Amino acid sequence: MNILSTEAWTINENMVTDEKIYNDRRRLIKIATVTGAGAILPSSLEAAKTYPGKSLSFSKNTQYQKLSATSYDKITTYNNFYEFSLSKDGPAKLAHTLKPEPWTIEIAGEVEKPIVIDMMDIISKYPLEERIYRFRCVEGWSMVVPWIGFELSYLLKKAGLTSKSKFVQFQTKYDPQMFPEQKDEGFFGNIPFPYVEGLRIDEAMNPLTLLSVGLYGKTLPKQNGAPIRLVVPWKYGFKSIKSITKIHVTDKMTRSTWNEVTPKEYGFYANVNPDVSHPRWSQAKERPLGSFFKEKTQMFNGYADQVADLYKGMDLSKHF
Amino acid sequence: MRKIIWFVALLPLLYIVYKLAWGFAFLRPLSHFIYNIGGSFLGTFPNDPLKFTADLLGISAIWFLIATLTVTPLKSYLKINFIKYRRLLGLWTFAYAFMHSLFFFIAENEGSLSMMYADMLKRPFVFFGASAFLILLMMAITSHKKLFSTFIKWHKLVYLAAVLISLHYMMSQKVIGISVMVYVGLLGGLLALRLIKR
Repeated sequence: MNILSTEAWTINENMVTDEKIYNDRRRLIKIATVTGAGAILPSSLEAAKTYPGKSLSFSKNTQYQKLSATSYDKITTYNNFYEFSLSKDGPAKLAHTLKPEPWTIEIAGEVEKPIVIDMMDIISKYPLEERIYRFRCVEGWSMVVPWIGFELSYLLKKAGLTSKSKFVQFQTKYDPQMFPEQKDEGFFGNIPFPYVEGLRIDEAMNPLTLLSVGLYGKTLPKQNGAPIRLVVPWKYGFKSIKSITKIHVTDKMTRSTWNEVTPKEYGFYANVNPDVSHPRWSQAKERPLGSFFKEKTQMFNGYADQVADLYKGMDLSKHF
Repeated sequence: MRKIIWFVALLPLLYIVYKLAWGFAFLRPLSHFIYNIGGSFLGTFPNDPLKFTADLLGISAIWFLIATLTVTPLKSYLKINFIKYRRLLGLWTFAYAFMHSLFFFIAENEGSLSMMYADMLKRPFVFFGASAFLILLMMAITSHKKLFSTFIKWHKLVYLAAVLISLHYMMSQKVIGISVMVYVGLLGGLLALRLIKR
């Protein structure tokens, strides 16, 4: 495999983080260290104000810069985020209740050393890079997103894998104050909360799999799963769980919310596959957002080169 | 009254034209003009234009079906007589169902009858929708004065169509949300009124 590492200095002038924000970043880290998570002090409230749409410093991964991205407007106004609304335009209007700061992520279970990481550390210290990926929803629409993130494997290696690390489960934060629809679980057809998703360990360790903290050069908009979400570009969008707070490594196959809601329609793997149709609609084509014309859906959403090997010998119509 | 019905009936269609016109350079000034009068709540080009169009045509058909089925209970329970507008409402139900089906046929089945046929057999919700459409088609044709007296018995099939459309609508959703429950609840209520009367 061709591993390209790009230096931060290769990016355009206009992508460079503003000096003010850069300085602010250091101050924010200090605040986070001094006050600690959960401490409500005027200084941490001040930090919360600076969060939305903060510019990130990152490098551009040249291997994933070829696609032309869907507009920022479309990416941020057409979302499935059932913790806020069942409609597509609802999350953009309702997600203001989400407080992405302070935020920590816990990595526990079958790992060498369980860790809790502060979002501030991730934003300031992790090797963030931009990758433009295809995103294909199981419902038949698609978009192209310039994610900012880091490889999930980077985090899992920090925690250290063991011989029992076979699956990884992710969980969206459970807090009905922030996610109002979590209160109405099971009522009016909503899905059970908290939302959970899972990957097999080799899928989780694949270099394509990202934890994303931003898009279009800035921190994630709330409706897109602030402050941190999974991005698995060869799987249907519902696998790319939003607003993650817990990562649990296990030795057994994990739960998966949609799989639990309708096992006949949504499998654990949920790999993009034009040949295996959803029981109620075909998956052969997709509707790119903003387009009248459908496009052919590609096997593994166009990432077959990198991931087809993971599923060798598996009947993909059974393990859908 | 007839004019009001026509006006209301054309609104969804005009809205679709307005929204899709954003997508064509030569029609965009028209949309801009309406946007300046109507305000930003009208929105611009839909994110998912195919789904937007199919959904709005389908929902409009359901609204007209609800209106059509309300005429009789309105007369028997509240003594409000709109019976002379029932045919017009029914024909608009058919018109939107027709546009919805045609749009699905072109956009989803690429205008191929064999694809449509395969889709119907494979996917129950398409089958239910298509069956309901055939019932509405029969009713639209036989709603003419000359034929109506002969076919009036067959028009009871509208109740079957309402059930099929409810199933079709519910099965087309990922999860059954509140709006679906409202529409299906209204249709169910209107059917229940018929059963109570017996």
